[in-house]
Amino acid sequence: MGEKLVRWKRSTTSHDHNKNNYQVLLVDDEPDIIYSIRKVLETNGFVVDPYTDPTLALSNFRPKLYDLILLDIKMPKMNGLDLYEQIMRIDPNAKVCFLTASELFYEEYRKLEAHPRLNKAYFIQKPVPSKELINRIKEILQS
Amino acid sequence: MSSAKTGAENHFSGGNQDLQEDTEHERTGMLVGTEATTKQTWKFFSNVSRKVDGCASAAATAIVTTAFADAYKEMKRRGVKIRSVTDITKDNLEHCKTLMQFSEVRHITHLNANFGVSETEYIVAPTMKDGQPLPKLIYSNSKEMIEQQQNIFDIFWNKATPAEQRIQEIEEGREEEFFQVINNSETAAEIYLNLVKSINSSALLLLPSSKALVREYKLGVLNHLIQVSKTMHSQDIRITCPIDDKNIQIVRTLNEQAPNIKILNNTINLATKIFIVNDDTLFRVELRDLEADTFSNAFGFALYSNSKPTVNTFRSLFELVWHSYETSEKLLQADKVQREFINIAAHELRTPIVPILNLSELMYSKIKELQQEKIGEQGEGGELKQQQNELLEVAEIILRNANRLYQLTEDILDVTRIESHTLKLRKEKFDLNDEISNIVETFGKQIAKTTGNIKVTYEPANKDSRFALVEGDKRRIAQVVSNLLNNAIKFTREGAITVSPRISKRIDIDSMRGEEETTELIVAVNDTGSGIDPELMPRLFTKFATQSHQGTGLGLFISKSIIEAHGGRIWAENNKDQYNNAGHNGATFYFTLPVADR
Repeated sequence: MGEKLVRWKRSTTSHDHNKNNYQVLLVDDEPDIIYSIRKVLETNGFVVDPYTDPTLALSNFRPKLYDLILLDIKMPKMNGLDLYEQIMRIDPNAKVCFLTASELFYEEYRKLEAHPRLNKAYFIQKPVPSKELINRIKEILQS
Repeated sequence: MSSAKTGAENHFSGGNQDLQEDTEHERTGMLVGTEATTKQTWKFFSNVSRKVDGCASAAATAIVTTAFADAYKEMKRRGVKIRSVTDITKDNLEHCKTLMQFSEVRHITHLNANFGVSETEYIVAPTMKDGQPLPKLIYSNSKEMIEQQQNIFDIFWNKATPAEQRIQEIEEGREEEFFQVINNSETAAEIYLNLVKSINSSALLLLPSSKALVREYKLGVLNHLIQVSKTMHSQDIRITCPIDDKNIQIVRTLNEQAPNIKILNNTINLATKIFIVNDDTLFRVELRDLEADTFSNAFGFALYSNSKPTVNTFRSLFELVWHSYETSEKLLQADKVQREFINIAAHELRTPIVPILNLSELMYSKIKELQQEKIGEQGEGGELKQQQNELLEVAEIILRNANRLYQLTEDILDVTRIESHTLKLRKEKFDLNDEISNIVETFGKQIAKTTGNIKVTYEPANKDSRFALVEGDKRRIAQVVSNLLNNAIKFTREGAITVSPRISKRIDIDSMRGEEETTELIVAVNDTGSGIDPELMPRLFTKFATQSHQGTGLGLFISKSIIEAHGGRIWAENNKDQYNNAGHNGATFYFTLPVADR
C-alpha cells in the first residue's frame, strides 16, 4: 500500500486549490479501494489518513482528530461495526460513516448491534460514483 | 373350617343370636365364625329378588366362584341382575371368567374391599385372606346403610373398566391402562423424573415457554435426558420450545453435551407441557404460571396415562407441531443461506468495481484537465492534441463501461433478490412529486450537456396531483422513475420526454367487500422515440427483454417487481396520435401507486 500512497501524495499539490482542510480517517482492508477512495477524496481537497488494518487504526485513534471517519464493514481482524463501537467509546462525538460493498440491512444492524444512532444517512454503498460520494460526505459533514 | 368362637363375638351386637328368624326389624351387627358367616352369606344371596351388586378383592373372587358358585347359579336362574367389581389379575383370571358367566364384571386395580349389597340387605367381610372362609361378617338391613353402600358401589362401578378389556390386556401381555390426575407438584415431579429415567426408545417434550426449559433444567430433567442420550443407541429425543435470551445458554449446553437431542424453536401459545415417553406414556402438565421460576410454582395439575388413544393423540399433536416448525425453520434457513449468498456475491462483485469506476472517473477528468492546460499552452492542432484526444476517448470508453458494469451488477443483484423473495422495501411516507421533479431536473441537466434535441419536462396533469403522498421505498421508486427515463432517452433522438403524474380514483369490485374506491397516483412517462417493437410488447417486462444493444433487459423486470411490491401496476403502450419529425409516435410507460393517508 505504502508505495502507491506515497506516489499519490506527491501529485496532490495540483489540487491545492480544492483544499477544504477536512481530515478523514479511511479504514478498508482492500488496498485498491483505499487507493481509489483516497484519490477521489484528496482530489476534492480532503486530507486522508488511510488504514488497511482496523486494529492499527484503532490503536492510533485519538479523539477530535478527524472531521469524518469512513469505515468498511466487512474486514478481517475487526469488523467495521466493532471498530465503530470502540471509536465511540473514545470519542462519542465522532462522525462515522460506513462505506460498504455488502448489502445494507440497516434495521438488522440497528437491532443486532444495538446501534440506535445509526441511520440510513450514515451508510454509503460501494461502488459509488465520485461526485455522489463527495456530495454524500459533504451532507454528513454539514449535518 | 374351624373357627374360635368366644363369648360376645358369637352374637350380634344387639345380643340377638337368631338373626335369620328375625327380619321384621332393622338390624346391624357382626357375625363371627365361619359357620355363621357362611350361613348368613347364603341367606343374603337367597334373599335377593331382583338385583345384587358385589365387590371382591382379587383373592375373594376365588371364594365367590367356588364356595358360592351354586348361589350365583341359583340367582341367575331367578333372573337376578348381578354386577361385580373386582381386581382382575393373572392369578384370578379363570375365576373372573367363571364369574362373568353369571354376572357383569368390571375391574379396578388394587381393589381391596369385600361386600355385597342387594335392595334390602348388605354384607361386608372386613378381613379376608387368600381364599380362606370368612371369619367375620357385618350384616345390615338398615335402609340408610344400604343406600350408602349402594352409593359406594356405584362409584366403584363407574370408575371401573370392563373385564373384557382387562382380560385382553393380561392375555396379550400388555400393561394395564391407567389415567391418573395428579394435583400435588411433588408427586408430579417424582413421576416426571422417573419417566425420564425410564426412557428406552423415545422422548418427545413440548414446552410452551422459554422459561419452561429453564425449569426443566433446574428440576434435573435435562441432565437425565443428556445421560439417557449418551447411553441409548437408536433414540429419538426431541424437544420443542420457544428459544430466546432466557434459555439460549441451556440450548447451547444441550447441543454441546447431547448432540443427539434435537431442539426446535417454536412460538406456540399453550399453557400446557406435553411429555411422551417410549411412545406409550403421556405426562401432561397444565401450567398455572408460564413464567414461574420453579416447577412447583408453575404447576397446575398433571395428567399421567398410558391409554393408547390418549398417547397417540398427543403424539400426533407433537408431530404436527414439530413438522410445522421444522418446515418453517428450514425455510428460514434457506432464506438465510440465500441472503448470505447475495451478500457475499454483492460484496465480491462490487469490490473490484470501486477502483475501476472511481479511478476511470479520475483518469478521465485528469486527462481532460491536462488537455485543457496543454491547449492553453500550445494552441489547438498537432500530434500531441491527437494523442490526448485518443487518450480521452479511451478513458471515456473505460468510464462508460465501468458505469455499465456497475449498473449490470446492481441489476443482477436486484433480480436475484426478487427471485429469491429477499427484496426488502424500506417504506416511508413521502411526496412522490418532489422526488420525480428532482429526478427530472437532474436528467434534464444531463441531457442538455450531451444533446440539445431532447427536452425532459415534468408536467403534473391536474392541480390535485401536485402533492402526492405515497408510502414506499423512496430509493426503489426513484430507481423505477430513473429506469423509465433512461429507457425513454435511449430510444428518443429528438422531441420531448414528459413525466406527468395524475391522481385518479379507482373502483375495485370485490366479491367479499363489494365496491371499494381507492385513490391512486398514475405516473406517465411519455416519449417521442421509436416506440416499442410490437413483437417485444408481450414480454416487455420479463427478464432480458430488450431491443437495445446496450441494455441488459433487466430494468423493466426490476421496475415491475418494485411497483407490484408496492401494490401498484406498470404497463406500456405505443402512442397513437402524436408524430414527431422522424415519423415516430413514441411510447408511454405508466405506473401506479396507492396514495397514502396524510
